[in-house]
Amino acid sequence: MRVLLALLLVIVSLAAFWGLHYAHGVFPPVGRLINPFGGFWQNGENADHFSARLDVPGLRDSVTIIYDDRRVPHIFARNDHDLYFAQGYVTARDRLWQMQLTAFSSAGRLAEITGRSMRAYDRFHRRLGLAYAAEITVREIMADSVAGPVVRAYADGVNAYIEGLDRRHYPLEYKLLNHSPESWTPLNAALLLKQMAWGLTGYNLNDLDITLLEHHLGKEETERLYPDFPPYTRPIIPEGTTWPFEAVQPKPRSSARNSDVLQQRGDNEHVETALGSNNWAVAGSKTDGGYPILCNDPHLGLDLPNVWYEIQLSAPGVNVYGVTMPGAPGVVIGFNDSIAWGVTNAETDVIDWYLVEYQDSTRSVYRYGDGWRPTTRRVEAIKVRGKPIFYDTVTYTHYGPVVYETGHPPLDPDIPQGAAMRWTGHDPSNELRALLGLNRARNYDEYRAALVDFSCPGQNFAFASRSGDIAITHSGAFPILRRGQGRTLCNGGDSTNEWQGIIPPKHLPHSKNPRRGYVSSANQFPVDGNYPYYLSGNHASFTRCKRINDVLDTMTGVTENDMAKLQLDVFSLEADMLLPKLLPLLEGADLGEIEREALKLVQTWDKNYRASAIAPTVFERWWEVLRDTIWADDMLGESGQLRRPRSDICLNLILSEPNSRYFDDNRTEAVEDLAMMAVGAFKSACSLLQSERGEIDDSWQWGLVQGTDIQHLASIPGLNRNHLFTDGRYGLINATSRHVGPSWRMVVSLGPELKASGIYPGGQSGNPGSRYYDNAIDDWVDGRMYPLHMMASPNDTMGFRAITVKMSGGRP
Amino acid sequence: MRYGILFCVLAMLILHLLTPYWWWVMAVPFVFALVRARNILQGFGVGSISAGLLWFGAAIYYWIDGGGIIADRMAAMLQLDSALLLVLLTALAAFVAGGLAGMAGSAIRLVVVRD
Repeated sequence: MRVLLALLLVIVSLAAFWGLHYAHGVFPPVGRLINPFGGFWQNGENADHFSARLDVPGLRDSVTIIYDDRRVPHIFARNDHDLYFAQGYVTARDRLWQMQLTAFSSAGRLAEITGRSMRAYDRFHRRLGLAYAAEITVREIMADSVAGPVVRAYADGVNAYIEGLDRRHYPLEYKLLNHSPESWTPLNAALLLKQMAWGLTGYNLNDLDITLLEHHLGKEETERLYPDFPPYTRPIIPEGTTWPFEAVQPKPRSSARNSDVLQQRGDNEHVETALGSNNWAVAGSKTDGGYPILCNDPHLGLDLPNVWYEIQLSAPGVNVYGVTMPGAPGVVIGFNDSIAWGVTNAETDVIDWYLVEYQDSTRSVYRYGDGWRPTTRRVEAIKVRGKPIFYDTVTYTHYGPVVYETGHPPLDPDIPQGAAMRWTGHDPSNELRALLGLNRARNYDEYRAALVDFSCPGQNFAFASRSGDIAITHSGAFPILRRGQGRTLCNGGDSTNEWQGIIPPKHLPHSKNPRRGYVSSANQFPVDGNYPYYLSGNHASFTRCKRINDVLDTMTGVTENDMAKLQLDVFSLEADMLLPKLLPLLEGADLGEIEREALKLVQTWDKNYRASAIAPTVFERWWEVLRDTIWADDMLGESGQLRRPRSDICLNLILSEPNSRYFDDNRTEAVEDLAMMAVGAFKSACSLLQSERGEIDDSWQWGLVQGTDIQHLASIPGLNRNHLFTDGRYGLINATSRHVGPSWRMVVSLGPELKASGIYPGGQSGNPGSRYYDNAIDDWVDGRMYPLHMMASPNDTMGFRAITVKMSGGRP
Repeated sequence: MRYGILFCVLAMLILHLLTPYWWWVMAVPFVFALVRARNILQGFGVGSISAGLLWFGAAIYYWIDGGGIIADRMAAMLQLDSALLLVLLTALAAFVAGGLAGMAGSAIRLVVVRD
C-alpha cells in the first residue's frame, strides 16, 4: 500500500516537473519562465542599469561610453578596433535577440526556433539563395582590408557580451521561445545585408504579371496602363539635365521567341505597398541660416524593437552619429562633422527571370545558346525544432537559382515557376565598405567614392555638406538593358537576353547643387527621357515626390522646423486632383441621409489625412470602391484575375480620358460611364462604412479606421503597441499606415553649429521590461522629434543627464 | 515543521541565487522530506509552504524592484487583469510543485524507514 502510494506520488511529482520544465506546443517552459530568480521577473528595469566600469576581454585600450537621457550610447574609443568592438557590445546589450532573429530569418533558420510553422518561410529564403548570397558577400568583406577587420571586431564585441551574459539575464524572448543565444559571426552581418537587399528589391516584382498582361491586353495597351515612367512624376534628377558621357550601348536581341507562361497565375491580389521613403536636402540659398539642411524618413515595417538603433561612434579619424542596423557595424543614415546623408529605396528593377528549359527531369543541364549547360545544386538542410531535418535541393543556373520549379506553387505569387532568378544581390559586393566610407566622408568627392561599393539594394543617397554642397545619387548596381528588356519573363536559352553589364558608377543618375536649390527623392522614377540608359521598375507614384517638390519650389528662408513640418505633411494630391472631377458627378444623384452627410464632409475637407478627421475615411473608401468597380471586369485573363493598374494610372484615366472604355462594365448590356460608377461607388462606400461602424460619428475617424499597430517582431501579445491614433497614409509625405511608416525621421542643419533632430517609433532597449522599450512611440505619434546630441568629447554632455561607462580590456 | 520550513526557504534561496534552475522548489522539499518528514502531510506542508512563500516573496520583491513594466506586460500576455494575479500565480506554481515533491519524498521515506 505504502509502496503504491509512494509510486503514485513520485509519478505525479515527475508529471508536475515535466509539465513545468518543458515547452508544450506554443507554451514556453512555465517553471523556467516564472521562476522569480531566473525567469521573466529578472527582465525588469534593473536590467537597464549600468556598472560604471566594465572589464571586457578583447579590448585593446580603454573605451568611454556616455549614455544620454534616451539611452543612446556615445562611444569614444582610441582606435577603430575598439570602436566597432564596443558598437557590437552595446548593440548586443540592447538588441541581442532582434539581431539573432533577423540573421535567422535571412538564413532560413526560423524553424529551428518555432518548429514546423516557419518551415515554408525558411524554405522560401533558402530557395531565394539569401544564405548563398551572404556567403559570397562575407568572403568579399573578409578579404577587404577596410570592412574585414571592422566586421570581425564587431562580432568579437557581440560575443564578448554573450560570454558575460548570465542565463537568468537572457533577453525575455529567449525565455519565451525557449532557445539560447548563439555566438555571432561575420556571416550574420552579411545575412542582415541580404535580408535588407531582398526586402527592398524583391517586394515589388511585376515581371510575371506584365507577361500575363501582355498576353491579355497586348504590348501597347500594357505599356500604357503599366508604364515604366508613371504619370505626373517629377523625376529625382531635375528635368532637362544633360549627360555628358558616352553611354554603353546594349546589343540587340537575336530572336523574338515568346515564352508560354499562360498556365501560371500572377499576383492578382497585389496591393500597393507603403514601403518607401523620403529624403531631401535644401541648399543654403533657400534656408534661413544660409546653411544646407538634410532630411530623411525611411518608411519601413514598424516593429518592436525598431529596425534602427541610434548611436554616436567616435575615434581618431571618425565622429559619426545616426541610426545603425543592429548586427552590422557603422552608421547607415546619419551625419558626421562634415556631411550628412540619407537614403530612399531606388526601386529600380534589379531582378529578372529567365525561363529554364531542362533537357530532362534530372535537371542536370539546361538549354543555352546552341547547346546545353550544366546546372549546379545546393542542398539546403532546414532544421525544424522537434522534427527531422528537412532537405531541399535548389538548382542553380549561371543566372542564379531556380526559385520555384514548374509545378511548385510559390510562396510569393510574384515569383514565376520554372525560372532562374538573376539578381544583383547574388553578385559579389561590399555595401559595408560603402557605409564605412560614408561615415568618414568629408566632402562630395569622398561621398561619391564611397557609393561605388554600394550595389544592392540600390538607394537614392541624398547628401549635404557643411561646405555648402547638396547632391543626390541614384546609386547601386543597375543592369545595362535594351529598352523594354526585362519587363517580362525572358527565355533563358537565348544568350542575347543576358544583362549586358552594369551601369558604370560615374554614369549613374546624380545631381549636384541644382539651380532650383534642393535635391529630393521619394522612390520615384529617377530621370527624364534624356538619360541614356534604360531603367525600369515599379517606382512609387507621383504623390509624394510631386508634393515634396511643389512645396520646396515655393519655399524660401527654410528653417529646421519647416522641414520637420514637411515630414509630417498629410496633404493628399490624389484627393486634390480627383475631387474637383468626382464631386460634380454626384450632383443631382439620389442620396440617402448618411450619404448626404458624408458628402458634405468630403466637400468641406482640406484634403489632409488627419487622425481625427472623418472625410479621409469616406474619400479613401470611395476611391477604393471606385477602382474596384472600374477594373473588376477588365482584367480577367485566361488564368483568372490579373494585376490591376495602379491608382495613379486610374487617376490619370479619370482626369485625361473621362470617356475611356474602362468606365463601362463590359459584363452588362447597358453602357456605363464614369458618373454612374462614381455615384455607385460613393453609395456602396457609405453603406459599407455604415455597416462596419454605424451612423457617422467619431468611430469614423481616420485614425481609428486605419491607425497604426507596432507589433513585437514575434507578435507576442502584451509586447505590442496597437491602435495608435496616427495621421497619414501611404502615398503621402507622412506615409504612416497600419504596419508601415516613417521608421526614423531626421533633420540635420549643417551650419557652423551642427543641429540635428530625430525620432523613431520605439526605444533603444529591446527589453520589453525596460522603460526604453517603447518610450518614443507617443512622441512619434504626436509628430515630435528629439535633439540629437553630437558630442565633441566624453565631457561634452550638453546639459543632458548622462551615465558614463568605462570599458577596458581588463589587462594592461 | 516551522524549522523545516525555515530550513527549506533558506536552502532554496541560496541555491536560487547561485544557479538559474527553477526546480530547487521541487528538489529541496523532496530531499528534506526524504530525510526528515514524519508523514506525508508534513512533507506536503513543508514543501508547499516554503516553496510558495519563497516565490511569493521573491516575486513581490522583483515586482517592486523594477519589475513593474515586465509584470504588466506578462500579465497582458497571459490575459490576466493585474500583475498581482501574476505574483499569485507564481506563488501557486511553487506551492503545488513544492508540495507534490515534499509528498513524494515523504512517501518514499515511509516505505524505506519502517517504524
